[in-house]
Amino acid sequence: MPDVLSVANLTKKFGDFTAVDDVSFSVPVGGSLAIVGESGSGKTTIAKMITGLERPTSGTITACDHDRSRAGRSARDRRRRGREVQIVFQDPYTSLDPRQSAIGAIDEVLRLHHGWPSGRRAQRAEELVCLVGLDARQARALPRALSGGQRQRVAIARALAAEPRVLILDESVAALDVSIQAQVLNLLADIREATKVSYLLISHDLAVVRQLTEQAIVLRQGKIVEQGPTASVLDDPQHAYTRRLRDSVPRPGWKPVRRSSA
Amino acid sequence: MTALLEVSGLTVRLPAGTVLREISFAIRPGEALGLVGESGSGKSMTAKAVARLLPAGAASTGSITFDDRNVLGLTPSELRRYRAEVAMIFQDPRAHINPVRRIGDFMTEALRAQGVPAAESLRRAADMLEQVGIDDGRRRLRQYPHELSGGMLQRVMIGSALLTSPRLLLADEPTTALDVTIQAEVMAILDELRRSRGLSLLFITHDLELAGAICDRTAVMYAGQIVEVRSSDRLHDDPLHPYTAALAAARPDIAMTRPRLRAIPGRPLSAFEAPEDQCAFAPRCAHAADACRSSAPQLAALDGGQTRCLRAAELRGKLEVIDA
Repeated sequence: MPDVLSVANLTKKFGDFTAVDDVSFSVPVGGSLAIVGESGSGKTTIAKMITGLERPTSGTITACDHDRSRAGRSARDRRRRGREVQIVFQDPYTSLDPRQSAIGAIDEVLRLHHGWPSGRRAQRAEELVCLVGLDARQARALPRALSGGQRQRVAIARALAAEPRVLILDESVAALDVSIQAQVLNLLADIREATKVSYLLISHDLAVVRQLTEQAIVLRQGKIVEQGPTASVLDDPQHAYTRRLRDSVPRPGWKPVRRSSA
Repeated sequence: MTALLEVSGLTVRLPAGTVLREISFAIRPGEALGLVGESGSGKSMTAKAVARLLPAGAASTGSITFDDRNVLGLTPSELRRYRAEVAMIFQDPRAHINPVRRIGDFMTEALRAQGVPAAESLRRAADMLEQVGIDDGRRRLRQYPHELSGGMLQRVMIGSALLTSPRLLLADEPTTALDVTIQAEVMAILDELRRSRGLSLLFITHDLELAGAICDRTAVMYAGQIVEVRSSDRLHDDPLHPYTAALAAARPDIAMTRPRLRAIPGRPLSAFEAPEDQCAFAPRCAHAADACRSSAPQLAALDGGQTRCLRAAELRGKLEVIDA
């Protein structure tokens, strides 16, 4: 399968500190890749570089056969990039415009990216809110009238409005209650099935990673320590750090173990 | 059973509405009780009620008894003594430790208030840092909170809570903001210190598995009520309440990919939205019958635990339990 997103020898330095160190991976069309790591592993910096919010120090990022390692030269170029990659952030309470309803947010994206007449935009906006499971009242409500799970659905619908080939999910289900998280995870699986969009999931939650992705890379202090199919990375981790991550997850019969050094 | 802490029929109303409804539970000396629930279920509010930290305007009915003392009726000086015996730690240590004072000042504040001399307080604080796994305690005591990582600060908070030798520790999601490997480390330290001191623990979390791993019993809350209390080793495999079973089944599994997760339809209700005259979980429950929608169930004993479900007895063995 051809790759829709590939990253080669990506490095980001902030002064003397290397946040991302020679990272390479690729996501096939319709595939789903997880970047697993703890705070400071560099996973969010990678997402920021792919979406153009940070510039790489070196290395290349290619999405849909277009290089995006450098800043877009024109508005048209940047809009094209928006149709290639979209992102859903962790916190649905701060990532939406408080003055915009779901329909309003989606309409803005449709107008900007597709330039459709209002009738077609309205129809597509209805389809999208339906796809993410918002009812008519919720679709027209401002974010402050919605719960966290409903807001995250709005953020997903807004991102999908650009019809991206890749959706970056940066801890997008981490802040949700368990019963709502399951709904959103099922929804994301359905959307991938229906639209063949690819996912780049950034997460510290190994169970979520298992549920949503086929491939995984484990990142520590900016470096990839392990990569492979998600099932084998989690079932048979080769690197000591991956084993430690997995063994730290509470489960029935689990006892927290104090490591010798603090 | 002589309980150290006994909460009985506790109902708390805020100006905005009711947040806790008829909460009853007890913690024995040396026992750890988990309090699990989703946002708005009232688990933090329960800990705040026990710590006497409810917001202004809150009205409580029912009773809270600690070592035969009526907690809701304590005078200011009794309350000061009570707070030396009941310590609390919070989710975000950075929000609860004064950023412009040194770690040493923060840790010794309560000891100094009890009249322990400064040098002795600092010596005890340095000892405590060693017990929570922080080396070079003397130097750490001179540092400021911004110089320590989140995991270290949480250990500082645990250490300072234990310095006054409390008998009950209230821990409100103490590891939720931490990375998973740091969470394991902090939980191990908390568990070890608690056991070695015979300390009672009320542990609040949204993570059923985490509560199960370190608590003797777990109480599950929904919409401001306790819906189940069960020994932790049976909660996962043999839950009594449909909500507990559904919550466990909704969680993705690190060991396998499921074709679909068994999501619970709808969203969790907060206490002030919950109806008074029916089971609060009935609208989302796969097992709800007409009776569930016309009368409110009471917390009742069943099979060594307690559950608030009209159909609990007939549902024994029929609730979805996840295949391990």
